[in-house]
Amino acid sequence: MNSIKLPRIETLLRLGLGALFIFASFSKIADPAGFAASISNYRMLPELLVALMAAVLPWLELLCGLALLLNRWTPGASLLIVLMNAVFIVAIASAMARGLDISCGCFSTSGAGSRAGLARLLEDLLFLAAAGWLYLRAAIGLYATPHRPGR
Amino acid sequence: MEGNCVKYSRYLPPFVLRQALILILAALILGLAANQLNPRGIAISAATPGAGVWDESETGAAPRLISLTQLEQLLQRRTAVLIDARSREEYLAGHLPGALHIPFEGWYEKMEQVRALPQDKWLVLYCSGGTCDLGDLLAGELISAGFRKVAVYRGGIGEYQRTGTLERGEEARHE
Repeated sequence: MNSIKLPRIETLLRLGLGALFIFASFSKIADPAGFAASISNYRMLPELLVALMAAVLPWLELLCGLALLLNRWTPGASLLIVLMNAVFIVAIASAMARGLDISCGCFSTSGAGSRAGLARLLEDLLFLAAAGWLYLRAAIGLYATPHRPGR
Repeated sequence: MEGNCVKYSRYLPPFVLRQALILILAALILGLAANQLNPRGIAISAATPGAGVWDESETGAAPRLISLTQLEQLLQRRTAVLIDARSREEYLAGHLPGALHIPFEGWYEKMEQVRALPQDKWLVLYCSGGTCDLGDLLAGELISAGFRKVAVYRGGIGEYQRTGTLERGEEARHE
């Protein structure tokens, strides 16, 4: 019995992830300095990269979120979301391993926002799995069938 | 060799890479442009507010936002005056080590103390963290009063007490 329709799950995942990444980008776009402080607290990047990441990453989240929501360039956007989540997971795991008790910087730039801990790590793993599934279906699934890039 | 390329392109098709690159480029352009236009934008340099390096030569008409890392550096260097902008009760219950107490509510009643603040040191304001904006508000008042080296530690008490120990009791005297 096949009661679950895969395309419907994909649509839900696509819309959910899209909305989530758009939401996550708002506070960071409004407050790049606050987001820079959040990134800096992880103590992983040189200062120049902290600044560049604080200015650009929220816009990448926004564009990828919009792409998923509008179902345009879903393969490219889901690939980038997989990569971003992989980076977030490494950053949070590294902060946990070093015993840093810092704000995650995930959905808010507030210093006292949710902590970079196990809950956020599991959350990001879920997002990575969802984006990975979308990528497999949208990019590789499409590619396996006759496909013309750009259409 | 050719077989490998085919295998890789199966999992990472060229059209996907092209889409991803265009999205990255668009984010780069939009991000840098928006940052320029945003009054709360940051300088893309090695001395960015929030970054690890504290460039003390950068002063201005807007308060600098500092991270926990920078706060720790400042505390080590003793080149800043910490100011707690919360109420007296909250201050007495626990404040950052060595912090003065100038509450945003009624700060003008402490005008003598404000006038005595050094112009050559960074005045670092903070409050509870989270949604608390007393530090930002008092920073605005101090800038209006003519101070140019004003910073806000937005993590505040909420963030600091997770890594450091708060001081309790009466106000510290700054040198």
